[in-house]
Amino acid sequence: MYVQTGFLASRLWLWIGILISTAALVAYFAHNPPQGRDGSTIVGYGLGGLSALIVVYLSWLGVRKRRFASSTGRRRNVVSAHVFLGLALIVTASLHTGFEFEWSVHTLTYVLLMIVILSGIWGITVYSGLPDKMGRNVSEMIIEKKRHDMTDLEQLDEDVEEIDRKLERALQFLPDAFRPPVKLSLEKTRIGGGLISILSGSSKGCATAKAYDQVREVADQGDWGEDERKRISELVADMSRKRELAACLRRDGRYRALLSLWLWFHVPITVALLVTLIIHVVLVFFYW
Amino acid sequence: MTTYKVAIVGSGPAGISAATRAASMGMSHVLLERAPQLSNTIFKYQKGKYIMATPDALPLRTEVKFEADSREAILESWTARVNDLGVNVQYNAEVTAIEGTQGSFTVQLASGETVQAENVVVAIGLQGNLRKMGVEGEDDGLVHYQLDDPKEYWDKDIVVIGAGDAAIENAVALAQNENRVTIVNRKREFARAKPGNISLILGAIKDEMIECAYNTNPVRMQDGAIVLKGPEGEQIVRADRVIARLGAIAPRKFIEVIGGVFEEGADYPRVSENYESDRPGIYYVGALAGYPLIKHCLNQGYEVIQSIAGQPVDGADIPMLTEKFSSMLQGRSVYDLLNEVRDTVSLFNGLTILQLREFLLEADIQTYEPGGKIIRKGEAGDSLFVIVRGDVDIPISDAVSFTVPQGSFFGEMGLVMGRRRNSDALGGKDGTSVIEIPRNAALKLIASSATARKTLMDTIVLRKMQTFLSPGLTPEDLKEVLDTYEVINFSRGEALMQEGEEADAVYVVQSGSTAVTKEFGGKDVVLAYLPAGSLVGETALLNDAPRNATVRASVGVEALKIRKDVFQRLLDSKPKVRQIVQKVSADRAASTGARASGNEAKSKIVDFLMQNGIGEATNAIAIDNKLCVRCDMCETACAETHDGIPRLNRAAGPTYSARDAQAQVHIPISCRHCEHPHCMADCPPNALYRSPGGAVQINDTCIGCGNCARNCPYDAIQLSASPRKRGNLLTWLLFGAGDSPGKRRPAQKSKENKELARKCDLCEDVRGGPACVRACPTGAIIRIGPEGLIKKIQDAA
Repeated sequence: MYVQTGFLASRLWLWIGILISTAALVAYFAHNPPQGRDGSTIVGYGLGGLSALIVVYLSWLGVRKRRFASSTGRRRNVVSAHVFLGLALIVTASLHTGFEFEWSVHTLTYVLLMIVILSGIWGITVYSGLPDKMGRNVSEMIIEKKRHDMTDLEQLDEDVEEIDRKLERALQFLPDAFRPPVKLSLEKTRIGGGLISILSGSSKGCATAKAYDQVREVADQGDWGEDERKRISELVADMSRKRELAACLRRDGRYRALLSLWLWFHVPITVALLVTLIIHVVLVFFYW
Repeated sequence: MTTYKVAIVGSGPAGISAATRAASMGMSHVLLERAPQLSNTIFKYQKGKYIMATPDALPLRTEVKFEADSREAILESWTARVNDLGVNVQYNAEVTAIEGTQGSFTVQLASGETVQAENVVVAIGLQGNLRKMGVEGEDDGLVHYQLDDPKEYWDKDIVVIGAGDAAIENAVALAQNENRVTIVNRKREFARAKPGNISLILGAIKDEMIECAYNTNPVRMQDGAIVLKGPEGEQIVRADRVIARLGAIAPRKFIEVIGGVFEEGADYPRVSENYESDRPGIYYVGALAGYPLIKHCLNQGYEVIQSIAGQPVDGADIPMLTEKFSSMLQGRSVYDLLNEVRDTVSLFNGLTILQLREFLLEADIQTYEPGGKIIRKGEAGDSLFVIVRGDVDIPISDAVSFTVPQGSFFGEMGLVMGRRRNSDALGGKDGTSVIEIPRNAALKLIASSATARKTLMDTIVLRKMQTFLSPGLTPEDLKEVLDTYEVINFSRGEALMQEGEEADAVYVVQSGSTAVTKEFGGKDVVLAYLPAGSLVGETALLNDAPRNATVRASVGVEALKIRKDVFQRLLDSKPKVRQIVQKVSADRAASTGARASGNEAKSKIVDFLMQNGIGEATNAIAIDNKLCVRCDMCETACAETHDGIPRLNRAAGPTYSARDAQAQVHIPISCRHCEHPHCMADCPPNALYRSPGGAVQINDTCIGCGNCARNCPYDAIQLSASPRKRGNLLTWLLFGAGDSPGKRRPAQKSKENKELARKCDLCEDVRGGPACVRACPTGAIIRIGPEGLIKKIQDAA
């Protein structure tokens, strides 16, 4: 259930996108010049010009979204337009090529455009799916927020720190056999790291998970007194919570990375596309 | 022995002002000060204390300089002025009695000396008469009754007795200087202090900076310790110092000895309009006359000398009042007019002319043509209007309208409920003059005059009944209701009525808002949200049945309770009214029934919103977390449109989300522009105000004291200095000037760049509305009022 109307829910731009695509298809199939359907026919130039205009308009979003004071419209509407016009570009640009490909800057422009659009589609899927998952992931782990001016993540980080402090104190009282796993958890638990490990979001090899298993093992082996048993069961509970917290934070890191990763393709390739597009357009004048 | 024209007792603000005036007029005078220095009370303020110059509207007329400044600066400037003018000061001169009559008073001093004077101005204030603990051993030197400098103590055990502002300020200052502080509160909570100080002390207790003993009284002193008696019995608390701040009272005995008269129940002796007491020739000014503010004291000191010199001046406020009322004077004196206003306006009946003057100073007078719009429907206004001439039409529909007669008031809904104006008010057929009283002044009026409060409440009840039931109802029809209604306060979450209980009353929600819930399958489902102004509980009374739903306060609620029998008698006597109530009740049942069959998930969200105080908001941010991609564009946009300081914290704040939740709603930290803004409660310069557009704003008189930030329960106000100007891309690239684009170094506070309160201003001066909402790429964020938000949730697919 969405409380708000999101960027994908825009009927207006959906229809404009469909309209442009349909018009392009009709024009393409209606016009059949003797030399075949390609970029150099009237329809070809038309589709090319239209596509180029759309590309420039869509790229302008990067500038527009940073103009906070000077534009009055809602960015959501601009993004809706961006999405649906971008999808329509698949049709207009592909028809513009007439499906003639070769090793040239022209085809390169088309390929770059398609990569940009594909990365955009990736972005759409990420944007429409992950926020929900992210919210659930984190809020399931929140027991109580200490202060409401804290973010969920700050609270979870603090929970981890608190457990670490408890573990350190517990070291003084626990039987020595527990020292190695507790030390392992305290010293070797890593959240984040390099791009690959963030993106994997995996908790395989999590030091606390390992430590947790070891603690269970040691606990099962010994013959403990009442006092010790109490401490051990507390330790197990703490370790278990820390393991879950770490896994949750890793998942969150992964989601966060995914939410922006696609832009690392989408934006630079757009810049490259703009360069090849200019070359493509300029070169076309030489054919004339 | 010389006979002075005037002897001034006490060198506080009033005494200094009187003495300097006398000196500068060349009047023979003596200033008698009990302590070895001037202005002992201010001298004994905590070091570095910042002193306010309120009320702002009051002009200052005195020989000394006074503006808001530190204790040290003020004392220094006053002492210098006293020396310059050659004021005749006698220190260590405690007055014990005054004998004789006007023209030849003999003032007895504790030292045995006497002073002869024709007139005596008593300006001793209250601080010379501090309330003591009255326990065994309190004179052993361990107990102090003030704190001069909290920095004198470090790493000590200190017990602070009292729960007022002074006690709290001292306790917190001591704790900040790394002392172990225990504060002893006789009651269960801190209620007497300013809200800012209450949140300060509660915060300190929560953070374990200060230990608090509630419901506890001091019993006796014992070497190096104090014995306290609390709910758990006696306990001995180590104390290197005990600081008791129990307030001050008028030294009644002394006043009565010198001929002052206390009216029954009065805290201050009776004085005439020129401050003369019942004994001619003796004057009381300042805190002793009931005016504790320094500005009042200074003015009164000056005025009293003028009257003694036989050149009485009008109060400093009179010229301003004359100008304000110029359109109505028509040759009369402003005093005549004041008397007339007091007598015609029922709200002012209980005030003295001095009080009325002080109060009207903050008010504004306006004259309207017939039909001229005094207030417009839908405007956000919270001032109160009093009609001094003509009458006022309030159209409720095209056909029906109320007439509010001369002497009456209107606009009270905005004042009490903080809601937008619910109808127009138009000038009457012969033209109308009204006094517009700003919210704070109106609240002060209600607080200071029981008559005013009663008049106001009665009128509200009357008008509520007229709006709900029928405009035809007269005060006579409602007499029983007016005589028996009660005002009841409910705290957040408290139930006004419980489902299944027997009904004993109807309620009119006066301020705050309520949520109506009903149990379905063992779970409470929110049926409706009733804002201030609603009538609740009528259904059960109509049908004489048990309550069919639970109504809870979703924020603090003030409600008027009208007894069952009274309400039923009203319905019995007015069949038409009964019909109307039946219709309202049926409509409500129909709409809530539809909602109840709706969905539990939605009612959970509404519940979450209510629990987080959205009920008292007028315009809050809600984020649909299923759409939010955590890009923080909203924050960036806010910062970019507001001097680089974002006024919202997107990630912080409560979130509604659970494994089985169908929707996720997040309320980020940002101003909710509450109906009754908590932040406004205690702003020394009165810098917070509500704009006509409805936003709670801060003007540039803010002094950065942080009271508003502490008072805001939602942490929506922050204190910060202005950050550096944003770097320009080119200059940054070429010369490294400014910060890199998108990055700003944290603001450095300095004397010129003070930390001031910053908050959301609803982007009222930004084209296109709230920048946060416009900047969101996915449409997750919205700024909306509670009704709108709940409707959105109910309508969501």
